[in-house]
Amino acid sequence: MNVLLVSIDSLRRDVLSAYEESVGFEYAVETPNLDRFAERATVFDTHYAGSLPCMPARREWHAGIREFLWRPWGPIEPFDEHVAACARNEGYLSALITDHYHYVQHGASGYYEDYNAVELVRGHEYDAWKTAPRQPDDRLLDQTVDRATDPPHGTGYVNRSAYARNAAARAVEADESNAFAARTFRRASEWLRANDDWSDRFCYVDSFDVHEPFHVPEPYASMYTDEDPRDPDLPIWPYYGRTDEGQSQLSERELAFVRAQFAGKVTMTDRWFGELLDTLDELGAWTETVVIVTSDHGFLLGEHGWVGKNHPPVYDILARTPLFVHHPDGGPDRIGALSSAVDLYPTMLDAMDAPIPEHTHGDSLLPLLSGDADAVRERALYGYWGASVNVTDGEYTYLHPTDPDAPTPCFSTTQMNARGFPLPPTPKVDAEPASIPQTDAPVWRFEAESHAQHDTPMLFSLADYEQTDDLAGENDEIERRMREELITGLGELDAPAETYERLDLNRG
Amino acid sequence: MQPTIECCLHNLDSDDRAALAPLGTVSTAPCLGHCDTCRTDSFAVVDGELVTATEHAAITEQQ
Repeated sequence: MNVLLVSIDSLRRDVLSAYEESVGFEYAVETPNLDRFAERATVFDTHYAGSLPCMPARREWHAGIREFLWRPWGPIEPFDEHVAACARNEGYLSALITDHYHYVQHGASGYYEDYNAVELVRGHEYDAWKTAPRQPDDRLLDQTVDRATDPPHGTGYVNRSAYARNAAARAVEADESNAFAARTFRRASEWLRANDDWSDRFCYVDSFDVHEPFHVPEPYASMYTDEDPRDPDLPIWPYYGRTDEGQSQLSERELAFVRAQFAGKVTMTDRWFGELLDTLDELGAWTETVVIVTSDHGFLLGEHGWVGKNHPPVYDILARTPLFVHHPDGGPDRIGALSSAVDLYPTMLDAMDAPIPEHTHGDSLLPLLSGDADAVRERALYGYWGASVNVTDGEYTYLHPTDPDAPTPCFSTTQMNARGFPLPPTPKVDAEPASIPQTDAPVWRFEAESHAQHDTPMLFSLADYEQTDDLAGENDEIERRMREELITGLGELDAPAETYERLDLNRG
Repeated sequence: MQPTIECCLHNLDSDDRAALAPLGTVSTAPCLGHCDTCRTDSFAVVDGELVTATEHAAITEQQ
């Protein structure tokens, strides 16, 4: 059985017609190819991210670890059993095809080395790729850069000016076939065609699109707006934060434009995802391939007064992600049972008939597809390291804040940066040896400040996708029950003792 | 009207926070997207504008 995992970064489920939610988009976002895949696949209605944002999600998928309770964005650990290594042990040929440059940036190592083939499309976002021309295109700089903070001639880390050079080298605006999603999905098709004579294959197509900058070629740039998409006054790369103040402040016009460019990028990414589906049709691969399509998180576009992610409470727009699974043996049209990002790791191994490591925090979803189980988990914890810890039971979500004055420990075999992941790691002179449940090997323990995403608990019904009706303080019984779910979930995972202290929870 | 003061958790400690307090309420974020400045300087984003200095107390003095 072949396995094909496709992740489309920052893809909000509410823009997909396969799901019923629609939050504030005054137009239907066209995704005909994701729609046709959803018709073929099983749609998971209650799927949640686990560790956020980008690389923590990828560690869940690659290593089956609910990372955020122990550490933030960082490398694959020596004790991780990488899904591609597990596949290799079973005789599978594996490939990673991606434009997700974080794999080759400070803060994330060990993710691609276990694949037999790695295709990396360079140049997205801050990727340290092109350095010429020295003076990037002024108009694209206007739409992406504050020259005072990201000087175009600066040589510092994580300079937004890099994108203007990279995008020019890729000729993104000249033709949609040059766009990052187009290149990534095209290379995936090429790999599948060229390697069709291998018997067992595991392929992960990791599309960085829809991620910002929301820079899209025509016709998509004008598809959802009457504005001139190349107007230098209109931003395509908003800072994360409140939309009503600070550096992330956006006028109504700017926010509407950003939303339109996000929507355009969704439709563009969908169009090239469709080429991958065409390739599977052409190869007759559906009868021998499990195809999984998901996303790592969503992206707030003005909802709750925020743009971006990371800073705000982990609302469902961020955490409740799309998941579609096609299995050659079939499955129901929809599954309402709760599932979580970390479940994809054992699901993929299960599909490969590979041993599932005992220490994984996930559960295979195949029994749900085959009808052998009605549920695989009672609860799912999700969030960011050093911030709120959130839980859902599939009926409610409960967001529990951290005490910002109580530090959060980071546990890793490395001295990774607990904050500032894209920067070179610095020595942690206060680090102490410690142990964690996933390994018998000692790890380093060092602390960093916690981040309060909100001050008091929040409680929402899953029926309220927009999460405008906070039930905390209104229904003590449900709130108490969800608090118990959180404590039980932390206990099941054997979470660090400090977690209870910074959350002010009594250990169960 | 007090300014909006945004800081990165990676860039300040409790002493720095106290040094900025005279300006107004300091909001902290896990990352404000100014990683190189964060690496080399003390900084705050005041009313949307990046302000850098060798230490946070100097940012307060600049305002």
